[in-house]
Amino acid sequence: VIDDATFGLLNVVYLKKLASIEDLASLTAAPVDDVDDVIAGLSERELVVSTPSGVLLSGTGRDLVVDYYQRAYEPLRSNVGLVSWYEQFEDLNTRFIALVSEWQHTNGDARVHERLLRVVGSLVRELDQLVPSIPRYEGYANRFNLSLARVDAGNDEYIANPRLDSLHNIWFEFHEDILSVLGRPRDTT
Amino acid sequence: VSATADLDVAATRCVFDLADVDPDDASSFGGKGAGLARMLAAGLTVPPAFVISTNACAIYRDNGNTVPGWLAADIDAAMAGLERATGRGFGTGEGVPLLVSVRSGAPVSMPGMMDTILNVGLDACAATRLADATGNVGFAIDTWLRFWRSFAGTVLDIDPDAFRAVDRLRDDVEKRGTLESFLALERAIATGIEAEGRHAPLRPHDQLVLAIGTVLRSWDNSRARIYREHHRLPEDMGTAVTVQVMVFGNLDARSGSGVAFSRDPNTGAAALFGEYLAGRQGEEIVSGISTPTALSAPDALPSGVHERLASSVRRLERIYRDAVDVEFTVESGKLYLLQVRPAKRTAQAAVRVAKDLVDETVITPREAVRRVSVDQVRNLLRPTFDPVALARATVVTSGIGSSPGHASGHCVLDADRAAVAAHRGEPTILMRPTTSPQDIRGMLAADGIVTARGGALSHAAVVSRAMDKPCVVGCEDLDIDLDGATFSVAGSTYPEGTLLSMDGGSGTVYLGQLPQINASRHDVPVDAIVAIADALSGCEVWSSTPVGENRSSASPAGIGPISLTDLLISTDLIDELIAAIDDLSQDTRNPAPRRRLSELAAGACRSLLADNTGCPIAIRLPNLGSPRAQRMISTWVELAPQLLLPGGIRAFYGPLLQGIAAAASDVGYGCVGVVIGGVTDARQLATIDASLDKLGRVSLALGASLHSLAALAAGPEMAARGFALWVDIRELIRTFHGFPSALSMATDVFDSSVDSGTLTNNPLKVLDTNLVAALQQLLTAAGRTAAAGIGIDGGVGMEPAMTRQLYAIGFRTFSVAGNQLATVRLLLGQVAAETVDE
Repeated sequence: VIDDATFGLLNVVYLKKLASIEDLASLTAAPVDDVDDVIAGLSERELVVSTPSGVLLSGTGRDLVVDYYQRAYEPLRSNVGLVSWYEQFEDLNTRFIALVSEWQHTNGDARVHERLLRVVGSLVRELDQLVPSIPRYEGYANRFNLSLARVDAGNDEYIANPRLDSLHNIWFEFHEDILSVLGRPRDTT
Repeated sequence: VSATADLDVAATRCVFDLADVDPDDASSFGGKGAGLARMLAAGLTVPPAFVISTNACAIYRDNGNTVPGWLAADIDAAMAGLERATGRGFGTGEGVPLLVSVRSGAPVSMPGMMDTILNVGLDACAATRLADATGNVGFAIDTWLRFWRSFAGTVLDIDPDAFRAVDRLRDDVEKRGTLESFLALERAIATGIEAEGRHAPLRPHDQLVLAIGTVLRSWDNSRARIYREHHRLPEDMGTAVTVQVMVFGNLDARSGSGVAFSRDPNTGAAALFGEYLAGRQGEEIVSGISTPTALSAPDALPSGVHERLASSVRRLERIYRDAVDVEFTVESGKLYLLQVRPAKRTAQAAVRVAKDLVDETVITPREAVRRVSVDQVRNLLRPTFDPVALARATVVTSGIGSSPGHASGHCVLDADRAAVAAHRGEPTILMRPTTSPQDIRGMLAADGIVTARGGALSHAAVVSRAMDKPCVVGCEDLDIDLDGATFSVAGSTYPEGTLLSMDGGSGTVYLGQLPQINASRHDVPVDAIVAIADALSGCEVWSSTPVGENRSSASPAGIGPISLTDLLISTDLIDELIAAIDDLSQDTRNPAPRRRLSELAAGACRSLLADNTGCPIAIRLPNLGSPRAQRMISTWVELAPQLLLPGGIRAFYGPLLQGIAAAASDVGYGCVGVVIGGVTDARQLATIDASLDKLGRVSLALGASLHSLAALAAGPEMAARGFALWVDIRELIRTFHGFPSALSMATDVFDSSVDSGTLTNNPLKVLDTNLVAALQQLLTAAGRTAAAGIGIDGGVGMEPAMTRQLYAIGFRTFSVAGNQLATVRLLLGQVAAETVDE
């Protein structure tokens, strides 16, 4: 059994598969040195494996994350509000994915670009509703806002570049996250 | 507000008929308004419109975010003008109602601003009239609902889902088509909006004023403000609003709508291209409800319209200085241009259009090289599978080609294992049932990605496109057994590790490794664009790899510096070279290894020279002191130390030079350049040069490859003595920074250090300022004439930022790998074009 803070850290690794100490520090808003120490501890407990390119989850670590989702969110899984929120999110998700593809195919067509950012803006607003029951979701809203600002500042790499904290990356991590909260398997499309 | 104050501001004019709009004043009328005015001024027919100028923004804000009375009156007067121009009534009258679009138009397009509201002007009565006039009740309903949806979403800020209930009424209204049924629909709309806690304005006039206010207010949305702050754009710039008449393509048999391209967007061929839907509105083309007619078909358009359209797009090309696409509507035989923009196009079309526009003197060469991106040229010249091998290849599976490109490698079914294999340097194809962010590490490392499920919009497709990596998704007959580490297709089972080849364009996966060949695109004038770029940059670009046949105007200025070691590796004779060096090291007087060295050099060069007759060639001799030699020669530590210095033992370079000279003489080559690496003193070169005299043949011209600051310092003297100079930029960077050669190719390692903030710049991408100064010094001290001949040996790759720096320093001779010739030359042309601008 792991505590909330440990889950916060392990969950980043769970969603990213491979996370650098810097990723972990910025996503959990903690100093790099502290994260480094915590990871060293988790490494000793064999929950994570540290490699030069980043931190990975061990089998035990993965089980503990899945177990935490199960324990912490079991009561929410039958919550009508959350379930219907998720159904609306699915619509938004379909639009987002289609727009990202269209954005790539049209080499960043201005209208598609704008619609894409609006959809992200909608999700950020909708996330507000979940924060009371899942406080850590505020982190996604903050990440979206930061990357939106970068895109608006002209750095389009923050739309879909898989190496950055791009809108597409954040969106997918959030999707995986909420699916894990709901205990649902991921749709394959 | 007092009457006097009202009079004061009334002196400010904000509303302009399109005919009074200055096409060159985008800061007052926005890009869209100015663009429409330009079309009108050029004699093209656009639907009547008026523009509310950007100064209205501040007036609106200062008036407590409402339109002041005097401005509302001006807008009403302008609307009356549109009514007169069209003979239609806005919210009143008989027959076809006047509908308008409301569009924002900031001088600079800005994020988060309201874009467009279409079809403003309908209430239940007007919608009934529209249904009667067009004889199409369904069209009237859809036009109206489309208005409400966008009005509710953008002006009232309501979820468009509020109209789900209304949608259920739609069929009933269409069946009846009476005023009563339209009124019932209007009540349902109002109820839906009020249920969301908002007031629904039903009068077209109120809707228009609200829509205009929303555009003006959207100037102050938070994203736009952040954007302006970041780009240091003035806060008081404001946005204009364009109000334009909507025309109907479904009015009668001589009406219709379409899209036209001034040139074929696929090939770039200079011919009118596009589609037309007779008797329909433009949205129906996009929605794909009806099948349009190609503009090239005879009588596709009502009489006279084709000629008018063709001459319109030609005029627009001159105005926009580019190929354009236009949306147009024909209303009762009259052509209206609705929207014009630079046309979307394929890479192939981009190249062709840029070349043709230069030939037609529409654009300058400087503009042309910037109309084609380096990525587009790279994609066009991307290697493809050898067609001979392809014809014999076995197709394993196929799906949707979702990111183009070709790759071969061992298939790996797990993202982590794929990452490990790829990092070992093994060509790898990641094959997954589907991908998720958890597979990202393997996806980044693999050469290509294949998934069994998912469509063109799947995670794998999006990520692979962002990484420009071949990807095939949705191979439905593919069955992956992750536990058994096998995959099966149609009854055949293959183990993980099976060698596969994939084409991310066609979506086909083949068995085995298919050889790739460089694409020769005779259908695309890449050579012409490269020639334009060369003329702009004044650069000579050599190929560091043999090019062979297929020479064209875009062929390299020379071949080299090409390493003798690589020539021997490619003919499998490298072990013999190493053995000869070993033997020589034991006894420098032994004639056998010397003879062998001479034969090896002659053999390797003979075929290179024969294949490239008439082209300047530079051959680089092995540098036994280099990190590469240290890695390749297992007995390196036992070699005689003098061998590690360039020219340190004459018995080494002597026979090699003899062999090269013999090859040149055999082939009848006038002059072959020989480049010595690692020299730091002009005397080293002079000594080797003197030994050439003993050969009795002067068919070799000596030069140096500069690897260090010491070499740069000695460069001017070498140049003064007539030696050719090549700066080996990658090795120079390495010795300057002092990192080990294992990091010479590790761009990503440096990138991640830059990302984490431990390095300011990636040294392989951006030259350090001290290094820039040293290179500058080399050119200055060498003098103008000699400097022109000093080349940059870019090795396997030249980063764009560094290429810019080197061009700015004054280098005009470069050498890059053959597959980068076209892209680097285009880039140099683009850099030159920018420089001229500044």
